Amino acid sequence: MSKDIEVFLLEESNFSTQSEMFESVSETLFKKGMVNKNFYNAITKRESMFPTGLKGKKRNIAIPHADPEFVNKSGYIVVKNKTPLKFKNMGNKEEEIEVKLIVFILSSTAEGHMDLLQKTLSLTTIDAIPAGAKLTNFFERSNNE
Amino acid sequence: MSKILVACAVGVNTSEIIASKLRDIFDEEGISATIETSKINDVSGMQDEFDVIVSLADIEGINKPLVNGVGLLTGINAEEIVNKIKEYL
Repeated sequence: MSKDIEVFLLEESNFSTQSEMFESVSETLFKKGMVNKNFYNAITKRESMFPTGLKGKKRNIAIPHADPEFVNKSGYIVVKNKTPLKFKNMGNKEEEIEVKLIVFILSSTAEGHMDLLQKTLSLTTIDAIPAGAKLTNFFERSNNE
Repeated sequence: MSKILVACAVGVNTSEIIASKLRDIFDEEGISATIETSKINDVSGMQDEFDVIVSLADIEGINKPLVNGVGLLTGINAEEIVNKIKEYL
């Protein structure tokens, strides 16, 4: 199962805005063939209609996602930005929250990325975020449970 | 039996997570309720048959009690949210 899931890490990234990050991630994913060329527009539109910033117990995260029609291959892109980026709060569109950990959940099928999502949500409560191979492993593992 | 509708943008993932959390909690407490999921955009057309709507975002044109369920994803104020839902059952 885990082989069906690609995990890309962008650690120590230095984006200054959400849109800069979306643009860069979209381009990277497009080059890798994981998404189609409309992914950037899709993810931007989706984020403005249904924001994905989540206030967490230990830390805030954001979980941007686009509809499956824009995704060729399922996976995660994990961005650990050096400085906080502003995201609107999923629970309250009027509120902006600061987020340093962003997990793009890519799903090429309409169903069945609940396990990906559940694993991602646990990042709001765990004490320390793993780095490097351990972080990749953290995500890959979820699909074998 | 009371009916709860849980809504998220696509109507599958986040809403399913919340629905299954609620089912677990209600099972444990012996509360019987039917819990369904839907897209946020479909709620206004479906609301009539439900007692309470649990949503991840504001929805316009809703005349049923609406509870914001984001805390059930993150665990923040989860108990409060569950209690609020129970008030409407």
